[in-house]
Amino acid sequence: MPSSVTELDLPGTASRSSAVIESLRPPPTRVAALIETSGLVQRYAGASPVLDRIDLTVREGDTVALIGSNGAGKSTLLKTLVGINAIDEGSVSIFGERFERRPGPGQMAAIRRQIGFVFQHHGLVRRQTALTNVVQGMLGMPGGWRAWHQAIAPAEWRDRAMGALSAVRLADKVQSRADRLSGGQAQRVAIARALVRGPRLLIADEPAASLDPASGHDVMRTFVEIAESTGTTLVFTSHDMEHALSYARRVIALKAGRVFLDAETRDLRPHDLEPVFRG
Amino acid sequence: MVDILSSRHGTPPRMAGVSALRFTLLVAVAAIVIVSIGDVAPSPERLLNGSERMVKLVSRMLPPETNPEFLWRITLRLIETFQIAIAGTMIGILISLPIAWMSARGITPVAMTAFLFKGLVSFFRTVPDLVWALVFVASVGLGAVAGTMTIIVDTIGFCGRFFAEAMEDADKEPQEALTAIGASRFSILCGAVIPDALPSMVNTGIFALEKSVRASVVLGLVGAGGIGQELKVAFDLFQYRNASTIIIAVFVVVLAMEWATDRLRARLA
Ligand SMILES: Nc1ncnc2c1ncn2[C@@H]1O[C@H](COP(=O)(O)OP(=O)(O)OP(=O)(O)O)[C@@H](O)[C@H]1O
Ligand SMILES: [Mg+2]
Repeated sequence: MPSSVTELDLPGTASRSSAVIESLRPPPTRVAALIETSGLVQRYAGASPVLDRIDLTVREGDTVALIGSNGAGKSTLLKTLVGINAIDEGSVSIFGERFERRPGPGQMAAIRRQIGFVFQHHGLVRRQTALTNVVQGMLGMPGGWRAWHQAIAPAEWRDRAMGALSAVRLADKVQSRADRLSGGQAQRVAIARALVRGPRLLIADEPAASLDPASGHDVMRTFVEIAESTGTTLVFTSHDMEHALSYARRVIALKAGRVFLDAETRDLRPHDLEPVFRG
Repeated sequence: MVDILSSRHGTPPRMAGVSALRFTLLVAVAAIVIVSIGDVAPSPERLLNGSERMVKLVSRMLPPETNPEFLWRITLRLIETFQIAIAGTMIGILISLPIAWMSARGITPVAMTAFLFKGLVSFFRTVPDLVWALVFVASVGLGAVAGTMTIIVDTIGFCGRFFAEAMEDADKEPQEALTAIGASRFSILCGAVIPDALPSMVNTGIFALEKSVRASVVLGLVGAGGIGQELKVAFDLFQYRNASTIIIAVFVVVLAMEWATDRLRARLA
């Protein structure tokens, strides 16, 4: 198991398919920061805010681990960044789209088109093949109905899906039904589904939490390889200090809704993170 | 020595107390059952007389009619019965799909009107098929078309409900994942909900076909086409030997169909 990202050896598949994925990406409109929040406050029904005046910046191409104990507000922050939750105070700027409360409908579409999501549970359609599940990553794009099933998808989308599946080293499982895959393989298919549109930002909420340690490392390694080789920005949440330190270049820790720590991984020692998880 | 087994706490009574209201209801239900039996159940002498006549009837039914011309007519009627069942079931299933989508909780694109579609399906289901047949015979006239329309309504009442339930039971996680990337409700239906619900929906469709074949046999009794019409004619004209042939034919057909659908289900399982 690698102790830092720089020690990873990238297998050929990832770099070969990176060309495919790169070609999917919209031409980069360089912004100073990919994500920028200022004074972000979010409260659900309760009186005390779940996110309390969060200021943070994520640069394009960075790999960020968002850590914190249960209920610290990690998932809430991710949902707020992409406009799923309405903001109570402050503002978010993502891909140069700045919004308060919620993104406008046009902004929402623009934001979603550039993001790939991966959740704790893979969320694949069980009775469909890996290929169809990955093609479905194109749903929501113009002409998205052709992503219902691989059989009716345009050739270009099927090619992209194949590229994404080889990027996650599953080229040999293309025809397997999702419910015949192991947990780790299914999660890698979910990564491929998130990649197929060529997103600028990959957001993953505890992608390894329901996997055994070996599969968890495998999934995290896949993420990092792809992010590195394609220049995709990666933001993932984790409870696992080891994952944060091994796979991210930057760690942001939330505690009780505040940014508790924000540092480059190379400047951190494991014991620096311990207070994050202490009550 | 202290007897530890003698209870110091109140042992509960053997039976929970019966409230006055419950007792009244119990008596009322008993009264209704007894009066009903007295009014409509066969009395012993009726049974005796009836069974005598039943034996006479059966003897007049034998042997079943085997005149080739008659058999040919029956065959054509059976084919028509089958056509009513198949056409009605297929059209009914097709109409059920959008109705089920509109009425499925959490899946429907218009949550406000879901109850209307649920209500429509319940209405179709709760009105008995012979009543629908009477309505359609009165509106589109005697014959197979009225029968087919009855089967359509019957199938919508059945499939509309179970398709909607299958859609509601479909795995939620892929639906959420696809919503997050901006997929439309209809795309989610076609890409995630239906693939997940398909086995259950196919099963429902097969049951609907079985149900339709059984229903289409009796539709003819009220003039809505199919073999039932021949059966009614046979009884009306006291052609009991014809009637027995028809009954045997129906029995064979329904049995064959159930065997076939059982095989189909086993293959799909
Ligand atoms: N939809 C909601 N409505 C009300 N409160 C919510 C909602 N979602 C989350 N919360 C509350 O917000 C707080 C932060 O939750 P969140 O899910 O963001 O934490 P988390 O850091 O992702 O935790 P975990 O590690 O368990 O996933 C919790 O106290 C939670 O109870
Ligand atoms: Mg969470």
